Amino acid sequence: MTTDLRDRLATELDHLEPLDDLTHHVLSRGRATVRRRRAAAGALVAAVVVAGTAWASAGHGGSGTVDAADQRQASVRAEWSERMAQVFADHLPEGFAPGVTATGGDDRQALEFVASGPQGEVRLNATVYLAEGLPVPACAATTPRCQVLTTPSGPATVLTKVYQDDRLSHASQIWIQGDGVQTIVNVVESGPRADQFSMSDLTGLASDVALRDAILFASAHDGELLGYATT
Amino acid sequence: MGRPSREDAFTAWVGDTQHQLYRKAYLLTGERESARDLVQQVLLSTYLAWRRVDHPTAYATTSLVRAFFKVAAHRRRELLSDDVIDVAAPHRAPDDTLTLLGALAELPPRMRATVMLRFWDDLSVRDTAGVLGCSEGTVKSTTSKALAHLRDRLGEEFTGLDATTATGATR
Repeated sequence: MTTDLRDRLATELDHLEPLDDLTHHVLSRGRATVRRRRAAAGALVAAVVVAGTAWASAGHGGSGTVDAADQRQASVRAEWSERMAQVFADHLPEGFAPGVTATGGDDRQALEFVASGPQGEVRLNATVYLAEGLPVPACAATTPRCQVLTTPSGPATVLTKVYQDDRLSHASQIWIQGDGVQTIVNVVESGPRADQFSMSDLTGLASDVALRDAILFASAHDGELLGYATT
Repeated sequence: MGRPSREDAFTAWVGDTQHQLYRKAYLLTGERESARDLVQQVLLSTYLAWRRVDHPTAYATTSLVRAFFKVAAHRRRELLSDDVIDVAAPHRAPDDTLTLLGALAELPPRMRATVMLRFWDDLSVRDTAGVLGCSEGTVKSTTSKALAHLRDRLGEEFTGLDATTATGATR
């Protein structure tokens, strides 16, 4: 007689103590997040109006709801891509070719950008975590070069050489905690032993007001950006 | 009677689903605290997406797996490798024999997720590929490697297990 794999897992999981009811906690955090997003969206709309910029999606009547939704998503994604391309391009170290190239962003691949430096390409991306639940790494317990700073986006931790194994590419991360979301910016070298972004480059990137605005934009358009820039 | 509000509908759904989500999260993480954190995170993202989600449980499962990958990727770079990693298994029976959960916890994240989706959630290869964002061929080969590892670790005990999904697709 055989036992089904699922039955055996169920039997072993029966020893798992039940989880306390999370409904109240989740509702409370959910309401707060919705309030913050509405406020952020209002602020962004006001800023755009002041700047005289028209929303790319405005005026699309659309022949149907699906078309309108698709157009809106494409518009929002294009705006996020443009914002982040500008943020990254503004903080490339000296010697880099100007500008960055967007890649990914389709077929379930998150959007990322490629910059070209003297020691090879560097891949950059930013993801906004809507649920704000990731444990933020502490400098003392992580990398040799690490810095905590206050940025317009909120408290940030800049980590370098995230992967200690020398066989892996040099990677730096910026963790930003603010406005009910977490944002992680990844800067990953392609070339072996390349380390082209200094701590100063990374803190400059973290401190950019345009990055804060991009995070607010992502928070306000989490649906359109899900799997692309938000998670 | 009018339609239930978002909060009423969400609350009712959580009541029905939370325990199952916790079990799935535990199958992925192998730890109570991590599983609890994941469930909390996924419930929140489901609440925020409630109005545009047609199938909240499917949405939550996909979110759960992706959130798990994110957390795992930040902890270590094991996602880059499909090799079985050698870690101490936390799940052992009182007589110190390796449990199925223990053997499962030894697998890399992607294999764990594949086993969870195929054999716990009874998803088809195609649906599993959709959740994992990979090809059907990758799902098949990952499943095969995962089962080989479980067979290797559990020995004769595993031969008594029938690795068949509810839809009848034997691996």
